[in-house]
Amino acid sequence: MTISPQEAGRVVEARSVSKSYGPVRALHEVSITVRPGAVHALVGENGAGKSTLAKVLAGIEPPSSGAISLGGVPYVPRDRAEAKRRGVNMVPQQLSLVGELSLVENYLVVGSRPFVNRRSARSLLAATLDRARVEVDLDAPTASLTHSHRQLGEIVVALAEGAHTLILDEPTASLGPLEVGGLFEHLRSLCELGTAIVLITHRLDEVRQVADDLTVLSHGLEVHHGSATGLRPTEIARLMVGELPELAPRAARTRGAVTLRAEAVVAQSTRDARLDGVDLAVHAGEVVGLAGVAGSGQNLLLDVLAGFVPPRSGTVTLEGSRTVTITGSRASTAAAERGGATASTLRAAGLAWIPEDRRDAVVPTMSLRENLAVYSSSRGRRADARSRPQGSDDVSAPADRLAAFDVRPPRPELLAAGLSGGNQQKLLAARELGAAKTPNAVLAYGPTQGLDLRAAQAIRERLVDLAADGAAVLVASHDLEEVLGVADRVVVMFGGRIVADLPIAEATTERLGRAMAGLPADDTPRPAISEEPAP
Amino acid sequence: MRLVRALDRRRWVLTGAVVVSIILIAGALIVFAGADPLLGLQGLVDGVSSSPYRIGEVLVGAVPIGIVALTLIPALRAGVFSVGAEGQIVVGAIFATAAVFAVNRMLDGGAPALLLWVAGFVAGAVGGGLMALLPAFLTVRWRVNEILSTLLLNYLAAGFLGWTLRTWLATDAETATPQSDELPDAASLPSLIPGTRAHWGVLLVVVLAVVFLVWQRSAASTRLSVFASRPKLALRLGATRSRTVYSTMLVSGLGAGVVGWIQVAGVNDRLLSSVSGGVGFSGIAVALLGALAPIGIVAAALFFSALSAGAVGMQSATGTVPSSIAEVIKGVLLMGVACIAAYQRQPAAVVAPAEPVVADAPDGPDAPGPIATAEAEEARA
Repeated sequence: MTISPQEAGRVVEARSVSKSYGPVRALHEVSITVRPGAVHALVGENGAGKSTLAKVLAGIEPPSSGAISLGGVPYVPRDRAEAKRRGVNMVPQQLSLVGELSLVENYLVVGSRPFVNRRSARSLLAATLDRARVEVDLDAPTASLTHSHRQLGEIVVALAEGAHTLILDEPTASLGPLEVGGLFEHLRSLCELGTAIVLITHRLDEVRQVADDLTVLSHGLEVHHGSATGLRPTEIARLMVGELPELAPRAARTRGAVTLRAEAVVAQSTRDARLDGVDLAVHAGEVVGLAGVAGSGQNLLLDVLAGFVPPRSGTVTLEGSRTVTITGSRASTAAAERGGATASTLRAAGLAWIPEDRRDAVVPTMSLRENLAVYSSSRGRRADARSRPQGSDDVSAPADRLAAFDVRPPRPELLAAGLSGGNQQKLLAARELGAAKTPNAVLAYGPTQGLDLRAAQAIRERLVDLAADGAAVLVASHDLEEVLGVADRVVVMFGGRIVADLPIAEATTERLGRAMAGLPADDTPRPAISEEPAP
Repeated sequence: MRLVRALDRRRWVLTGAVVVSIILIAGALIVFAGADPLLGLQGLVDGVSSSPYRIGEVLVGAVPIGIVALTLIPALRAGVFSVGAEGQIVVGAIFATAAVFAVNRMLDGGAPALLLWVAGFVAGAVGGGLMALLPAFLTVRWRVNEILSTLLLNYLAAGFLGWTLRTWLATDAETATPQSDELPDAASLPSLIPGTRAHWGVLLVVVLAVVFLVWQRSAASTRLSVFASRPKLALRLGATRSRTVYSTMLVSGLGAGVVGWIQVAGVNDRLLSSVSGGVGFSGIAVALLGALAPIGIVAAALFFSALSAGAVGMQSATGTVPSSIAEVIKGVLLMGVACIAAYQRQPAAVVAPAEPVVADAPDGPDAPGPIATAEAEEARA
């Protein structure tokens, strides 16, 4: 790839950049060159310093030492706004679009223009969309767009703001494989227009798919930089974590009776998702993977199974020390109230819960100890205290439990808000999966999201161990790899229904991808990868 | 940890700034009114402490504010922002007055004091409780914003009180302002300290403070905090929306209703149109100022009451400074508290981006250490 003189003025080059937070050294003497018209993959474990480096480049955090230049001129952004003016912009992992507003309105509310003109803003965005060959509805509230469209919308807003260097923090974390393919096509066409893209990712196959350049960070040190082509994922993984632990061989487990069952469940969430007659049985001792593109209803199914959303009709049953049954009812408010009661009944019957958004389950203003022990607070002073066997819920050694799940730092008195996202995820797993008593059933949505390879593998092994101890485990994820890495059987949802149910041996990426896109299982030609699957 | 320490430091700096600005503003107001600030300060101190009667007045003023604020702890902790104490006091007072007269009439004027106290207490609590359940129902059933409904119901209650005092509870005597007949002597709360107006209601504040100190370490308290920020997790703990809203608003309604009775039976000896007198709103302010902690609330209630009592002393000492300076100082103080609470929340948003902003709970990241340990102990026991 040749670089024109104009593009040479936009090369972002960081040299020997370090960043310390007090005694913690997040980055140490890291150098990176981001060139226009190329995708630069930035990979590394949790806490390797990827996000810190991205924040330094985007002006969100100043470096402790080192120098950054933009097109050969020193580049020392005071804040994010200045970095934006210089053309470097970051799209955070948690998208910043305001859901109630359309893309045009979102564009109008960001930035520091003294006057705004809706019509000119709209035409500017439309031109940007056209240039990037993206089709996104500019006038619909962004909350009504699919996740991948919101992602693209955020990118388009950044481009319209004049960004020539885009930093994307794990943009594929919640996209299905087809959506990822679509996003990558758009990224490539942006590159052809001369945009530089820094792609932070955990998924190593993405590096091979889309990246031109590669920087690998490990514990704040840069351990590799160079061309991304010709590197195999296993080589990159070895660079990241040193020696990658082997996947534990799948021990044959005996499948027991059905523990968790949904029968003809029809439900409607307050948002767009719905369930349209779902039948699902999860047996004791098996791990069932639940795949589907965003908005197919997996989320709602888990909410129904956890007792948060009452089904309109159909039943949910959890077999345990006692049997809990939720029956659908049309009396919505009364049912909603009962729904609340059932969430705690199900938990008491041994249902562990890891939600898609860890912020639903981790209380940042509470200490790690309190977060671990939060369910003890639901114990009444009367009946439960007597009936509960001693030490059934092991909260006596929170430090040990934190250490067992590799929560860093494993200090029980620390506030959960002080943990990084990945460590909050580990904390959540420690609470839900780390109790001394094996849960009867586990509902987990993306249990390893935001975790590095080693931590993700530890959680996977824990899930499999729980199944071996007799738990019925249901793992849902946008990330097919996460599902395939742990499941004995894969169930695919599309449009509120279960459209495929395959044993792991038959669950090829090809077949699952077709089911997730809502295509029949025969051998009709595959759609072009850039096509958006219908939600 | 470093972040936490930095937060603490900024909090202290900010608190200092608020205190300094209050002193400056108060001093400026006194000087502007043409008085000597030191003389004004002397008057303020004298107004609070120069005689047992004045000390009693501080206690009398602190009782209703303290009870309202203490019983608001659960609601505010759960993020249920009820501002209806004012109206609940009014309805509680009407119920209590009516009950006292009814019981007295039934026994031909010879009702024993204890019976009249119990009747007034229970009726006041029922009145306040009913007045609180109405907005709770609206919130649970149709998601009517509880701030709006409780606020507007205050006006309804005030109108009802005016109507009551001109019709079925109006006194036969000629009076300048609408009021009820004087309560029978036996219904009055006896004074706690002879020679002052301080009545037995003071003890109720102490009891409530102790009760909430214990409650704070209970599982229920944790559940409410979880409800405020993590509704789904709260559902798994059994805290449904309806259960939480009904129970917390009921507690605050009961407290405010009892305050209505106390104001009638302990302070005014009759139902007046000014029975609530802004106590309901002061209660919210005091609850927030006291950071939802019982001890802090009692201290803040005493401070608020002392400020009002002291301002009267200042007015008589200087002759030119109006006693409403107390309201100005309270207002500045509240703004300062709001600033501190907002500032405290800000850095937390940096650590955990896109946090949903909770409507209250300024007591978030304060010293979780010992309490956390105690709660875990409690949970294990």
